Amino acid sequence: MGRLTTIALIALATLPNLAAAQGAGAADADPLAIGRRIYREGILPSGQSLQGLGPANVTLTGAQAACATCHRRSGYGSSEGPIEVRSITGPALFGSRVAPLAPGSEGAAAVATAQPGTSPAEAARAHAIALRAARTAAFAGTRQRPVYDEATLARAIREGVDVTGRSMHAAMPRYALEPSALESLSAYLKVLSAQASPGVTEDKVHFATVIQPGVGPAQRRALIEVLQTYINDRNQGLRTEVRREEAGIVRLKRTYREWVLHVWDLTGPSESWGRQLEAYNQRQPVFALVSGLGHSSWRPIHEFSERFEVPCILPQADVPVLADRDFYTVYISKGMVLEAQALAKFLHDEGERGPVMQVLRRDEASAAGAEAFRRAWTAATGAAPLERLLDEVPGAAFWEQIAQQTQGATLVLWLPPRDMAKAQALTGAGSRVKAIYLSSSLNDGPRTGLAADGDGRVRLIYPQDLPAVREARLDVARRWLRNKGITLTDEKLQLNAYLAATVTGMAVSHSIDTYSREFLVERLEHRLGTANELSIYPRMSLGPGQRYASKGSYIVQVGGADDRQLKPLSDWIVP
Amino acid sequence: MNLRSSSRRRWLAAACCAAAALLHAGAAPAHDAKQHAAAWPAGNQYERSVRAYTVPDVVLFDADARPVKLRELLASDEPVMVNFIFTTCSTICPVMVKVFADVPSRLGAAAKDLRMISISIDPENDTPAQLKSYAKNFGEGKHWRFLTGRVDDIKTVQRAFDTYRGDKMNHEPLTLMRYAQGKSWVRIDGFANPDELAREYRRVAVP
Repeated sequence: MGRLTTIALIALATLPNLAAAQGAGAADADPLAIGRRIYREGILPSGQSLQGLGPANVTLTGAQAACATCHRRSGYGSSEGPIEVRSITGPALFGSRVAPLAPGSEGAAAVATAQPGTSPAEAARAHAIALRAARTAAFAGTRQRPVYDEATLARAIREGVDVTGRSMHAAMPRYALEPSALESLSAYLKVLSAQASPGVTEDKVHFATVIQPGVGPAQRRALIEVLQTYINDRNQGLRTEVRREEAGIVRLKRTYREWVLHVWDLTGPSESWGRQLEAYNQRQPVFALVSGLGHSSWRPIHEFSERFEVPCILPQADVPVLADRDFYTVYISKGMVLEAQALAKFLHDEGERGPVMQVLRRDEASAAGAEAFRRAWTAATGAAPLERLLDEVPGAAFWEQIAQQTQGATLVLWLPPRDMAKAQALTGAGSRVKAIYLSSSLNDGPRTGLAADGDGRVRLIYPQDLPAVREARLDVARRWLRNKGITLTDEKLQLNAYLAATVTGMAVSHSIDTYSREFLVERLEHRLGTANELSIYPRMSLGPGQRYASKGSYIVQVGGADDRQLKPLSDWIVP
Repeated sequence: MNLRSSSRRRWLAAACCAAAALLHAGAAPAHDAKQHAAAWPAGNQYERSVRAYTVPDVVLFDADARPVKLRELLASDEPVMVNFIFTTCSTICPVMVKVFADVPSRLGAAAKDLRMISISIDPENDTPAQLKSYAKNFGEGKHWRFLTGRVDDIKTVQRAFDTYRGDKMNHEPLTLMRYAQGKSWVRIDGFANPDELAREYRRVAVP
């Protein structure tokens, strides 16, 4: 026990580094790393797959058999239909008290050193912090069963018998684990979600929003305004609760903390962003990143999130990272890739077999759209689209040539409005172009710089709900913004920011006995689908391991600069 | 027992009552909460009932993105087994599909005409391509098809078979089987293992 406690304490101090060394050979001898590998991936110390005997005599192996599959990465469990998957965090299983603050954070020292000779103020402060955690745990229900020890844990895992001697639900597999594997797993379970996350202090939770260079000042301001207003609003509500708590009249105890918003502006080339993020995080660690904005690839921020295990909630990223197994970033959608795939599907399903040409420029968003379209179109038809790559803003002559080039061509323009300032030839009388498709993300919705023409040739890939439909649904969100004195200048930007802030608040409010970053992401997996009245998307949903909330798009015909004149040409396409 | 333990028993009993009809074979709807709490942890039981369902007139899509008229698919006289899954489901579906995969081998020759159908209840994530990749592990093919569709159509199908529970995370283990068109559906709520499903199928198949 003593040895394991020592290991656990060392691990608490070095956990972030442990995460970084995941999978490396050097970490293999470390019981916590071994335990984590069993827990998360279902891989035994020998390298073989974990095997569990599940319900209905089914044998589960590897990832399917892994604890994290049902108990989740945070250990807090979940519920699926009739099955309640219990919490198996360290405090839940072993009854250890949750460390209320991360080592090194403000106030942590006070908690650790409540010794004789400490001033009364310090002692009172330490007592208040400790009391908060204990009270919360008591109300949280994670201690509604007797604690486990090594022997009862081994019995639970091997025989499916719980600490009271009762058989557990058959959905919990039985595992024939070797003693050394059990020991490592037990060591890992002892520290699982047993400490508060960085970015949480005695009375504050720190958040940041990341803004890439290339974002205009008006957009930046609009984003920050919505997030800060949400947070101020939330903090106002807290002050009352704290007073009630002091007066002893709060019945349901929560860990009320003030939220603080930091703005992490990135500058310069993207190769340097990782370092900038680390520096920001070093100066003031944050619990999570909320919203954010960038037209270039989100990769450096995505990788920062994975490496430092910092959730990033619904950033407004035109070029998200498409990854199968990453955890910490929850995207609004697949961005440019979604647009491209939806368009390819639309054109193919509509029977478009004529020549298709795409025009792109050398920036990441444009290139991402073009590449995804090239792939999807080639896969669907066997033929790659024609392409033109722009190095500078094209003049009228360029567009006249395109308009005349091929009879009945379908044009896909991955371009912002300024590139189309001289493109009148495309919709002119002599144009032989069949239809022109534009990207909503690269334009400001229907404000594309390409005037709608009478023949309905100007079309938009529109990965949002139709304005007429979402009008009613967003009434509450819009009214909130209005009541706070925020002018709606960029509905998509502002509502997406409000969405990100609100769902983060919702997920955090479900916290049990500690601020767990993994639990935040898992709550979103489970609950994001219920937040549709805050969203410009017809339907957002996630699930275990899913990270792209909105999965479809419309193709619409542009009727003018007003959203409301968009005419749908398709159903909601899910590529 | 100390106070905490009996609180847990009451909690379990309450949760149990909500799930009683689905998880306890042959259990009467109203019975002693204590007995209930004792029986709750098992979960290897299932409940069998016989129902009449009207197959909705919708067009779904298989793992090759081909349209499938559900009514036509289920209009034949070949026996069918149906379950409802989603590819990112981590607790219930891995078990359900593994059981399905094992059923033909338990039936042997009797499985000749059996068609198995797994319908996704998370159609926006479970595109045909996603289903294809998921089903590769289980031997999807002519005899076992994975279907998806438009969100509204999938909801319609779930409602038609009395399995719509709102959010997909509320779904419950369910297998349906029917010998031929016009016959009733046998509904298996809960986790039935391959032998049990095979046995139920043989009951159904006896004319």
